[in-house]
Amino acid sequence: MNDNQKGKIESYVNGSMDAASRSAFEAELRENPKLANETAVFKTEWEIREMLIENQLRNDIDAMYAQYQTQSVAAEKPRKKNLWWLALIIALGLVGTIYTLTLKDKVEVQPENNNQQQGGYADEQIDETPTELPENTGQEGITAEVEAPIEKTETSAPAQTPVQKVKLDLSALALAAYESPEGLLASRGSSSSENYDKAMKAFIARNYREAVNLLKTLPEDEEQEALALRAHASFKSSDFSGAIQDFQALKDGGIYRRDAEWYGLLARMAVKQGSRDIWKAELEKMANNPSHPYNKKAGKLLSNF
Amino acid sequence: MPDNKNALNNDSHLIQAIQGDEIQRKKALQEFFTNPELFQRVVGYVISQGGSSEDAKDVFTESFIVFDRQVRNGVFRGESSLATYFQAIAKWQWLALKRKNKVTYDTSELAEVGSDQSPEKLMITSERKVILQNLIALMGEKCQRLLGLFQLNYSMKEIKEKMSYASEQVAANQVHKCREQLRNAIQEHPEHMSVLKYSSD
Repeated sequence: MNDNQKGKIESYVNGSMDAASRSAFEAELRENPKLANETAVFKTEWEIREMLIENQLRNDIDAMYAQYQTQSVAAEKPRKKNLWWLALIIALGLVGTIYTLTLKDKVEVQPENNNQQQGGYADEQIDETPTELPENTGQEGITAEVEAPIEKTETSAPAQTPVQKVKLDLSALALAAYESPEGLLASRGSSSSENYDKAMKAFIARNYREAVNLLKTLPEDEEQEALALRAHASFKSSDFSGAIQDFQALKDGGIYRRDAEWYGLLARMAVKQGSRDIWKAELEKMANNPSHPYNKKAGKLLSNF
Repeated sequence: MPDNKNALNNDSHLIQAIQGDEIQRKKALQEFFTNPELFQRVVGYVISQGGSSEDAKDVFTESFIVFDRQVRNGVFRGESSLATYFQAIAKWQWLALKRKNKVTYDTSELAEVGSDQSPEKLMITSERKVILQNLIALMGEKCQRLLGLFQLNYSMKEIKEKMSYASEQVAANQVHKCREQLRNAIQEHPEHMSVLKYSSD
């Protein structure tokens, strides 16, 4: 096979060959079985290499989507906070009403004071009770009484906002840390269980609910494998409680024990089952165990705590 | 006119990033998420067609995978704007998703993407993915990483640096070894190849 033929095969397979050359090459393929075989091998190899890129892209998109969702939620929060302004306005209204009523009482009392003043009461009483000009005094009173709650509310609200903005959503981080294990699950090859095979195909085609349904009853001779597949399909279809249950069963023993520790934890974090301290302790255990297959990933997730 | 010029600049910048190294590719993907003409437009379209946000994410993912492949293989030549082209792919993907769910659809609005460039032709079918994932699983993690870099057109110098090899020659030898291993695995499983032969016709 010369370089020219290799080049032709490559451009035929990757779709960059123009229509005319493509027709000519296909005619050549029909007449030359050796070339056809070589092209088929190259095409398989090329598609596998593309699948490797695709797997990476899917993980990257999942992670960015989780990040995007977290940011969207963070952006929603300040909007919800605007309701505080409504509460504030209502509070102001209430304070204003109370003050008006109080003022009304004062105004009703005022003439007596003025009368008393006019009647030659002591000067110090006038200083202590600045009611010489009821309107002015009244305004000062409103400012003092109303400003206090405004200041209190305004200082408390912005203090909460930045904290919520920078707070990392561990649930989203757990989802972002999840990596689809198609390769791992597919490593077993074809199975003796028809349902398991169908479920695997459904999983790879991203029909996760279908995969779960197909594995409602686990095949006896491949229970662990089917359980692992069902756990992942549940996770991917956002049925986290189903995933947690299956990963828990896998944790009890068998070849998927370590995987179940990691993925089970991610599922629990995704639905905030358990406490931050418990998640942290589990992550530390994995991160500190160099032989744990997920120790680097656990360490990475732990760094966000 | 200035807008078009800006759009072209942005398009070229994005295309270059997709064809770049892993860091640049991640930046390009991030830009797809933040550009309202790309991710948000796809989400808006899918939701307006009765899809869920999860459907929208799936459509975006599949569209990006197809687009990424087209850019890297020189199939997308920039004859239309990147946003228009990407949206057309997304429409195809949405129809494919609906077809999977057995809902009828109308293809009249899909003239922008030529039939020879239809994403369906460029996607690896679900059946085939199962086969390919089986073959991928036969390779070690190192070979998977190496061949991924090789497919992204990394030079041997870059692969040497990424994989901490002693020299470019060592990197080339390792790539050759992994390719041979994969080709042997393919030839040992002719049942996998037969699917490819028929589907390539």
